[in-house]
Amino acid sequence: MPKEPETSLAEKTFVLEALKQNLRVDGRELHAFRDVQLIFGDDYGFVDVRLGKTRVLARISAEVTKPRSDRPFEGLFTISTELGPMASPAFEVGRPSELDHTISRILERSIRRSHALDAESLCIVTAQRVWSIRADVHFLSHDGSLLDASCIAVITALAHFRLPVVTVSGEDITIHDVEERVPVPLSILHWPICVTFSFFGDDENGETMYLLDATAQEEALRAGDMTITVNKNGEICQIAKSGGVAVEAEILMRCARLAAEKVKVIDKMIGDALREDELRRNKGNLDWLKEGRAENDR
Amino acid sequence: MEGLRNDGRRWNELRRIHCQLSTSGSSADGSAYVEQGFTKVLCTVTGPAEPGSRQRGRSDGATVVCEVYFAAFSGTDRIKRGRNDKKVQELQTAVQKTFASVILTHLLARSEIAISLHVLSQDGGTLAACINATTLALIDAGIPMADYVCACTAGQPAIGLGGGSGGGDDDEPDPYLDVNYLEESDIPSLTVATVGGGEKVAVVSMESRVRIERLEAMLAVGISGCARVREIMDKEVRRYGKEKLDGTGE
Amino acid sequence: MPPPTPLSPPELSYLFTSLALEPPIRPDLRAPFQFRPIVAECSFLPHCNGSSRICMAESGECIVGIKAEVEKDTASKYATVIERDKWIEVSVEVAGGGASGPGSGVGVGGISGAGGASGKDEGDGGAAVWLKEGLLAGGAGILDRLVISKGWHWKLYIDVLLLTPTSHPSPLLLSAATNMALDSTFLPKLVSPHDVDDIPAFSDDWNISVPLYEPSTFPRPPMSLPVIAVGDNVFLDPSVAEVAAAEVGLVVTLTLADSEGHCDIVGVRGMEVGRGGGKEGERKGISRKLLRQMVSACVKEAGDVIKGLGESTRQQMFRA
Repeated sequence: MPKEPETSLAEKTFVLEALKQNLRVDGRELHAFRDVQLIFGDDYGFVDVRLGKTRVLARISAEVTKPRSDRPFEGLFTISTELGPMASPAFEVGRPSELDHTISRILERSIRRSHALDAESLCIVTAQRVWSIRADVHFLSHDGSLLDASCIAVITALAHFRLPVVTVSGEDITIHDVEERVPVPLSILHWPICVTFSFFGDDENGETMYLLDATAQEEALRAGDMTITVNKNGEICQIAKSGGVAVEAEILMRCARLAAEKVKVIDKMIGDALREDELRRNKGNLDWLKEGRAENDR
Repeated sequence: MEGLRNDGRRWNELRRIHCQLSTSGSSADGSAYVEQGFTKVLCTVTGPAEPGSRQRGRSDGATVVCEVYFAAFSGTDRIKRGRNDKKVQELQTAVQKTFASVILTHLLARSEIAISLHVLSQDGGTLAACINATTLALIDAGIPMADYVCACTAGQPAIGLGGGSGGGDDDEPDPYLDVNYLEESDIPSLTVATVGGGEKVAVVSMESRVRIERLEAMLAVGISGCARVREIMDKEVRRYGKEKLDGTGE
Repeated sequence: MPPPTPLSPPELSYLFTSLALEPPIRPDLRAPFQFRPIVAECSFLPHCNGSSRICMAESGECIVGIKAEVEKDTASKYATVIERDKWIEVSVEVAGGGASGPGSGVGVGGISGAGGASGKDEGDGGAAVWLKEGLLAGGAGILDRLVISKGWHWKLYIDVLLLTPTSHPSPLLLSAATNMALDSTFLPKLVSPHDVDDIPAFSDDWNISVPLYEPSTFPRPPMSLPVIAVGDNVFLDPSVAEVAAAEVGLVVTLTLADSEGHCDIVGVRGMEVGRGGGKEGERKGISRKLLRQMVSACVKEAGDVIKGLGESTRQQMFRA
């Protein structure tokens, strides 16, 4: 089994000592995120997220299926994640690691169980036809904070995705081609965003140090971690801290508040990027857009 | 007259906790049984022992593995949960990670500690009961730990119980301590586990949406619950220890 | 395959000799018909109709939960025995030894032909099938008790949870736990008439619920006891080491026939035992005299054990 090379003792001491002086190896502030880059593909629902050297792709696809018998009004939504050797040689194909489980579990809790996607809006004909939305997350490069990056990727991709228009007439349903009718965005109720804190030993004041957006090196050395998922309205969607170093409740609360602040920034950033992309897409037929506006005004 | 919850408790009342050490006799190195209301969990610990496979041995400390079994009869309906069930795996990782950091693993290099948990009856707070049972079983097995890990749940009701002192103008109702199954499926709740008597939090797990302002109150109530759970467990450990000592002394 | 033991051939041989002595010496100094202590609890699971927990020194710990669900009789008007078979579902689950993975096949103490064709290689089938067979053969008419009203019956799910990782659970442990759980099973009282095909209605009041086995009626639920013989000596409740050293072994299934502790024999099965003093290939058959001795030892001695278990059940139920 290929293993991630262990961090050497010298490296470990260096990183930890530097942290005690509030310095990080890449020169960031303790609580600063790396720059998030969002690159949209040609298709709707395709997003490439870069967070420093971490790179995650998310792609949304939709198909029509039968709903579950116990939930006839609800569409289906699945998130699939797989860590492959492309992200890091330590990951193997077909053998999900613990990190793999953690990521899929927390994404599930953050996005699916918090009802970010309105499942009832995906219903076409009750108990017969619903949309099944699938988010595939691919990890291209691993340099820490895979979870945060993939959450941003999934949320952005969902917001970017357009669902073909469906008309129902009696028994028949028609799925209109994208060329034929302008596809509609999904109904997303809120944007949950994961923020992972990495805990390290105590600083000079005897308080646990916590970092945001850790790199792979920092992740390997941390004493514990906690993921908080918040939306911009200040609602916590889930918290997951299992094990690791025990932390004072006071610090947990500080983390939660900090997460809420950070999420507002990320939320705005995603919104801006989406608008920019929309503008870029519509540049070619701006006249058509104006026409549409004019019509509405009348 | 203060308002009561659906099972007749006040907002800050724990359910009855019954715990027992060394329940499985000689078949395991340590075992414990915990009842929190109608949630009943049995834990057995084997180890420190030689790891089952070479790969698992670590030269700088012990490995902790955990297996959780849900009895088919543990819920209201008979459900068989396989080993790959998401809920089972989630519990497994949570318990495993919690105790991997609390057990003084560096004292037990190249060995393995296997925790096996049986959920016999579920009525809310399964994770909390699992953590408490594991703590007791590890104590029974004599495995060195930093301190007790005690867990408890807290929920945030939408409407207060009313009638309480100063409850009239109270638009933020008191959080419920130690939620049962009905409350758990109804209102947002979190599980919190503390290490030792202070406010050091090892585990927080919440799966429902809640306003950030309410988190503090829920955490505070949960942590106070942990402290009470700790008292109860400590009392039982001391009682059991005394009984053991007296028994061999004669 | 007999249960594996950690004993070496000389140890086995020593054990064999001491068991064959007159009077015999058992490794734990028990009398030949003496049972080991049993810790038994029942009716402690609120979500179950009946439950029990049995803990025995060597063979470990076992929890049984019984759940009953209302089910419609299968469409056929002439309910044959085969269909009624499905009214009881037994499953045995063994906890893996934490690290060493779950127990795969569970054969019960190597009972010969346990479970007939399905055998002990078929997952948990062995023990489950064997337990069910004992129940159905139990003469206590368990199936008749499951009838609710015309066209309706209770479906009984008996889940046996073996907490100690082992590939050869003791038949005594499993059957004692199942016995006690059955003994403590209560079903809600029917309030709709017996002879109507409508969905039956039940009372919500658990205080007037009906026991599956009415106390102080006979026969009681069945129970199986392992018995071995070395030379001319017969031993009840053998330990794993004793089974390994034994020459012949039986599992005798009994039900309590009256309040005096007399038992009826429901079934007798062969039990696979060890190598009889380490000499492979010299395994003896079982003489008629010895067979009678073994079975009568069970019948004579076991009554008190079964009765004791039943009494303890009733006491605990009463207390609860």
